Amino acid sequence: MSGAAAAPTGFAFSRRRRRFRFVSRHLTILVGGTLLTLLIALSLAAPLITPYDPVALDVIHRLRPPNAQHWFGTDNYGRDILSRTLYGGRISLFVGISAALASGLIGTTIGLFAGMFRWADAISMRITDGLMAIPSILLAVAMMTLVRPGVLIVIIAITIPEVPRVARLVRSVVLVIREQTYVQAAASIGTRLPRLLLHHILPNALTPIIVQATYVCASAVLLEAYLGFLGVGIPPEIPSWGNIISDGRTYVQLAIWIVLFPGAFLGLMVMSINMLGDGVRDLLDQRLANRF
Amino acid sequence: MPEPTAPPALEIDNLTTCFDTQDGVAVAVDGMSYSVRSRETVGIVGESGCGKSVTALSALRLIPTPPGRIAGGRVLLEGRDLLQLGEADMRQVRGNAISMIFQDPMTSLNPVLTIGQQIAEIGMLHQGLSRKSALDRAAEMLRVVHIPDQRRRLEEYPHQLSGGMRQRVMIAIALTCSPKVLIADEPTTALDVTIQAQILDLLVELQESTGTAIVMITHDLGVVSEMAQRVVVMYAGQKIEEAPVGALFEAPLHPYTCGLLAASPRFAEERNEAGHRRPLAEISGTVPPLTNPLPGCRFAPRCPLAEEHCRRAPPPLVERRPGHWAACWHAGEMPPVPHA
Repeated sequence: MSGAAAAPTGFAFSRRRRRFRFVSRHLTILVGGTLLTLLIALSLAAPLITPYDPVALDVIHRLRPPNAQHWFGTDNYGRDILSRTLYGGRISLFVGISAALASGLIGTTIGLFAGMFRWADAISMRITDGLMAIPSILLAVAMMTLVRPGVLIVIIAITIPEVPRVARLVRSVVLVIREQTYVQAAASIGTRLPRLLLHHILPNALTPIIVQATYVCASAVLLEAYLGFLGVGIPPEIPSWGNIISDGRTYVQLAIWIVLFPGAFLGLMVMSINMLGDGVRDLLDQRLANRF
Repeated sequence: MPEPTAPPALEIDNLTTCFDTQDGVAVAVDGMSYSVRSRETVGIVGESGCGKSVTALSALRLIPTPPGRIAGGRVLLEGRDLLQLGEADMRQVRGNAISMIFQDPMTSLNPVLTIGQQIAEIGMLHQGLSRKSALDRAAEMLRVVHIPDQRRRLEEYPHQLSGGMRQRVMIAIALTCSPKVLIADEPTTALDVTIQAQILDLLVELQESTGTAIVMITHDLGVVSEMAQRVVVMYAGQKIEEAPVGALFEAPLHPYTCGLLAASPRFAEERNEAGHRRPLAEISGTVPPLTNPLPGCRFAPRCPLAEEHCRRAPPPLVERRPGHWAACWHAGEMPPVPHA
């Protein structure tokens, strides 16, 4: 790496320089990772940060602007926006991570089969084409209107439109990897097909899957907020960012802080996850990393 | 030199492999036959795309199906027809009785698995070894292929090894189960010359100690002359000449073989008055498309001796001298190569 260039100038310098290089090369991963860790920590530590119950009504202190007691102000029922935002972060994270894991697992399985077997390819890719023709938000809204809303249903409604994207990506990666000599070499020593898939092909496909999963996570956080805002997401009594913004939209002119803070948190979280995804891609994809 | 009476370890008999393409059926291997005995090395020579590798992959039944399929013939491993075996039995043959080494050691090892995992896999597959004893066996195999510091190497990943090292690892994997037949598909093409010589020496040494039959696929006539006892020359999916290595180099019968020999560079060669070496000879033209084979001799369009008869009737493979077969209407009529 930097060894050859930095060696003559001494150890301390080369070390500092190497550290500087890592920071400059992986700035996105550091900023994104730090921001996301901070947001996760805030959400998890919500009871330690704020004494208020996110759903407790306090009509006397309604629509208060940010102040010493209520740092982010209160809404039209006097509920503390800071508590609601932090607790809402838990929901968003849970939905985002669950949807990323679920669509990652299901999509990878479908993609592996589609990449390896022609019959599976023909069937699954046609279904995928069909699903991708429908905008994910419409698909999710349509699903939500059919069943009683709940967190699990929201996760399923977000996962289904994401599965085809992951499946297609994995399929395309598998199509490349299965032609590599090392796969042929493994087959030439009598390796069984399941082992070939899981042991030889899947690990080589992992990088794009991980990166794609972070993007799914970010878009799931956003989609959850959309659904909440449209009133078809998580039940309104549960504070999620979408729900808080939805509740506050009628008071925007009176009390902008109701939508401002959860909105800012939403933006920051989506941005940090995306930055982390970009950073991880640069870190793991040697072809991109070696260019510097 | 092996005894001529010994039964062949591997015999490929009239093998035909086709690929269904959009332009029609491409017959990549057309009635190919050759055999190799224990302790013997047979060189398979021919230019790119002439079916050398497809023949070998067909023998292991590793042709991707579809689009490929084996349309006919037999592949006999010590008399047993591999084309009749079930898939489970075939897996027992791969890596166990027949092993293969591939051309590019940079891509034939899985980049995300350690060397140890990759060598141990074959021992666990075919010898029923536990992970630990398979790793012990892997270390032993690394010693056999002269890689020092085996325990540390087992922990390393392919990118930490040089090309020659990786090819040694591939040889270690291929020979773990002491196969009857080793198919080496251009094992030295991707390596530089000094490493090539080391790898070839290693193969010879291991063949002497294990008695493995080697099928050496190459387009490097130098490798063939060093390694092989017999040579099979392929053109457009067919065998056009087969001879003991000495006979082939001294008196090639087929015009294509003559062309191949003329096209190989020579180190010690007389120079002309200006001090320049003779320019390398070439065989003009390209291999005809396999989807639409010519009615007559497939080499006719590129052959200096071709005449009307060659274009109409395919020449049969005839034994012109003892052990020396050629498929040409004008076998042996090519003027001798103007070499030093």
